Amino acid sequence: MIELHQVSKVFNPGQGNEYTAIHDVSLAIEPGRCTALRGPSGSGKTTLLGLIGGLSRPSRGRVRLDGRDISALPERFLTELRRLRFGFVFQQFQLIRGLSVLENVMLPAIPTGHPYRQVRARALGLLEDLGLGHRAATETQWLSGGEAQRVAIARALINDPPVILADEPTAHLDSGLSRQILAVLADLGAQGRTVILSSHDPLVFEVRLVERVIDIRDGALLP
Amino acid sequence: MRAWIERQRGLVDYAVASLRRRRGRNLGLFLAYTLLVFLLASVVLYGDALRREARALLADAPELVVQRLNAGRQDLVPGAWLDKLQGMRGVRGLEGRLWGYYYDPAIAANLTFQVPLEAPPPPGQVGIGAALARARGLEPGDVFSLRTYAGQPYAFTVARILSPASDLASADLLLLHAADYRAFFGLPADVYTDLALRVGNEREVRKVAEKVLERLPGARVIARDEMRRTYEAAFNWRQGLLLTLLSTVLVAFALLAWDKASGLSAEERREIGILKALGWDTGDVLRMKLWEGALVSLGAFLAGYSLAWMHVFHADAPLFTAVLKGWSVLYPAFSLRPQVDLAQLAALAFLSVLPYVAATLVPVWRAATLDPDEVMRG
Repeated sequence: MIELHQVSKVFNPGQGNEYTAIHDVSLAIEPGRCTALRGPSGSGKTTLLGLIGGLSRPSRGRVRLDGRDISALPERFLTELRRLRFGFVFQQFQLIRGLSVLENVMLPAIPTGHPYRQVRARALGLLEDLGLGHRAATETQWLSGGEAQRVAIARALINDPPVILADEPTAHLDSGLSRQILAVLADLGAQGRTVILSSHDPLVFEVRLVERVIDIRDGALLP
Repeated sequence: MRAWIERQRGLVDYAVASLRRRRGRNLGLFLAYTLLVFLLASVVLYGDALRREARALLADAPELVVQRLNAGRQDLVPGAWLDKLQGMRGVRGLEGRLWGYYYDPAIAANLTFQVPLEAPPPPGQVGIGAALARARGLEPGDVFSLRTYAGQPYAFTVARILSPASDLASADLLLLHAADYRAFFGLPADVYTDLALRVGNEREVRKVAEKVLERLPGARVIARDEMRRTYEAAFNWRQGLLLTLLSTVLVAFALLAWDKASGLSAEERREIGILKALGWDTGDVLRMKLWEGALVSLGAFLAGYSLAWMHVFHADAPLFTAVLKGWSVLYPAFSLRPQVDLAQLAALAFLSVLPYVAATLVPVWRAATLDPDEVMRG
């Protein structure tokens, strides 16, 4: 269970360009379900996903994971949490150029210290499952948008996290590729993982993937 | 432990891939770095080897040398001085030496004439240094003549060419019989260039020197240790001169390295953000960059040091011959004995590897402590 209690996020506090991205948000996200944050651009979806996944800390309020307050955790523990409990799929894919698909997928596993051969075998297995086995040695800058997104998903799964956070997973894809990616996310949900995604793409809400929709606008939840 | 090793392996893999991706920049840096270490290590290795060689030569030198001074200049020692020093306590051996310099206009070089104390060549015959033999094109059995101070030609037969192993000292050497020496320079029979004293107990050297001065008030007594210090001072001075010149190169490299290593491109900052978002902590990022810096600097250090080693011990250091060996016309063609000085190696590594690694870490540490959610927001 992920719980947010009166969470606010203020950027550049005390400066001329101070900006409150999230206002006093409280919500609970059940495990094993697919939850979508829906709202227009600039509504605060990405910031909220970042707070849930421990990428940033709230300016006010608390974020709890399975009852444990993670908003006050020291950086080292928060990093460990990001590594083991969450898998991130970023809006711009955020793959590292010049590295192969396989190397990119293996990246989150490096700090775990798991044996190289095991990690490599698991990465290759994930790429096979996502139809990218033949692209393992390709450098990521040569991938199509759909392929890059699937590599990002494989990378998110390498440490077998129980929670997947996907930010605008269909933003740069055509309808066909979007459906493919949503099918992959649906499979992850079917495996019992918690999937939390943000989107304003109507296609996401048409398929049977999303079990709960949370509307957000101007940094606040809509009733 | 195994997890730690696997983790380091992953970080090294990533560091290597990272170097590979920016190969142009890293290769340039690596080459500049290698050149710098090569120059520094060459000077240090060469200077040290020369000092070792000089010490080895002096190991056989007499503990004390007695010269006669005349108006502050060295003068010939009368044979009567030998009698005055006979029977002195602590002196194991006492001999008059004959040696001097001669300018040979045919090869425009100064030669060192010396009468060996043991096994001198027969009258009329000489042993000559390899460099002298080369310069004059002489072989054993050849006859050649030099003009005496009286202006007369004086013929010598080459009995042997001295071993190249002793070339540092013998390159311009001409060994001859005492009778030839005196005849060539027109010296009477009872004078010597200086006297050599062998002292049995090293700790008595100073005492014996004092006693020599008591008996011979006009003498100058030179201890072997003083000669060693003079040699070392000469080589240190020359090495210092070169290192001073090289310091400009060092500063230029430091600026280059700082510029290349300390500036993080937007791409690198983005990468660090991605790694942090994916669960790398600040320490992992720093360790990865540490490996990256260590691979460049340690690789360049080893390459530069190895090249310097070959330059000094296998190619006879052609780059530094003129400065470090001296200004002689007849350069000795000798090979120095390789020897690794661990403290010196560590000092060189410390001076070259550490500053570079430090320069890479500071900006990375700054970037790695930023919030990773910048990545989330693109």
